[in-house]
Amino acid sequence: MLRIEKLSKSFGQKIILDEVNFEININESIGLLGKNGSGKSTFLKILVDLVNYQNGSIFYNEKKIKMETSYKSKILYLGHQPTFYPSLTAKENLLFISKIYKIDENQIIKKIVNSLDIVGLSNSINLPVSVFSSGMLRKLSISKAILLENIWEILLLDEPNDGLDIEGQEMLSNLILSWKNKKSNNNKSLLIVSHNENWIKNHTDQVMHLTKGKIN
Amino acid sequence: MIRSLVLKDLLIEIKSKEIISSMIAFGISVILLFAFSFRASPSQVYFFAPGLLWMIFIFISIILLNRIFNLEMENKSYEILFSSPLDKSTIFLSKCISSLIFLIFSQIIITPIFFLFLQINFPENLLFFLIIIFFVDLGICSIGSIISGSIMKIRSNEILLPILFFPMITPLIISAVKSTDLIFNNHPFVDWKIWFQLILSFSVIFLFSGYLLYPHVTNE
Repeated sequence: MLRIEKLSKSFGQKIILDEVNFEININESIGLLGKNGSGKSTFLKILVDLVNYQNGSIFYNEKKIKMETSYKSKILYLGHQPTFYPSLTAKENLLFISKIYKIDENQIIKKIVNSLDIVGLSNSINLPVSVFSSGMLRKLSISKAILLENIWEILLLDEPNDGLDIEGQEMLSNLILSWKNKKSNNNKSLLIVSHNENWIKNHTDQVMHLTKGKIN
Repeated sequence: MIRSLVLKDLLIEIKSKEIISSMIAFGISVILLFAFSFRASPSQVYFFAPGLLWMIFIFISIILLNRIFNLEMENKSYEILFSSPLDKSTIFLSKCISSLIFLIFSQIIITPIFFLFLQINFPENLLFFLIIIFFVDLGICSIGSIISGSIMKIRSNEILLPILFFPMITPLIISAVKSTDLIFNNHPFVDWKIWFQLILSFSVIFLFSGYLLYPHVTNE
């Protein structure tokens, strides 16, 4: 599904990714572990065109990609720091996101309400995001994945349980489980980055390590 | 898609009221400063009015461009756009259109106050004057969006923007001042045709260059 060949990235003299080879197949969930600053987040950002890479190739369904919009619509990235427009409400942010991902306009509001309900933010639907706590922002970010779940094929999660309360962590675990179980119908693959080894082992099929620029 | 992006910028501005209010406040302050500091005779006013008007417009453009791109920097909101399936050229066009709307809206408020306080008459050929303003604005927004997009992720981008922006728009502003001066003095189109052609070419070239280059200049 997604194959990376000899991907290299450095910031100045510091080598972050050193000819990395990686592959994630349909219906697979992979956990990527690594120390702080090992390049896990950079690796995910490269996959969604937020950071450039110096050398290497990315293949999606065996086709070499140059960050075409057709590829970017199939890969959804939920970053370590959830990103939203602070002066817009949760509903307005999700409405804007659903428009840029070209979600069918019928029932958009219903889908937004439903996704916020699942993450437990239905009472905050009309609140500006600027007043959200970090945990609420994380939940809002997860609601984005629920809203777009018929679109993405690969979900990239960067430290997804950071800032979540126990209830939120349970909700996230259930969601990940449901995405993994839906795999046979929907071709969903998950790549989860974390430094929490126990958590990631419980939520993914396979665990890899990013150490000294290499994924093993 | 452009419509959704522009509407998002407009909605943020309606809620925050930061961009247009600062542009108008700055523009009016400069007009009042000039109107009350220099007691110029009517002929002197006509001599410097076109230059002053365009100075005000480019300074409010800097406020606009700084703010409209920093909207995307708050909470790293640009990641929503750049990681989405949006074509980056579409993002450029939407920023150009949003900037153009904000700039024109501010000019609609500022320009009559300028004429009122400097005690000069509206040009007889108002339509030509408006056409000049529109195309110069288009050039300002195109160049500004290219530069702002490329320096958005750089620290101290507020300082870098005017340093890069002013030299690049100099030919456009010279043409704008010259043609405005000739329009204020009721010269026929043939007298300022060359300046208009320059403005038109400049604006269209930068609009297309921005459309083509934006995906590359916004890369890390």
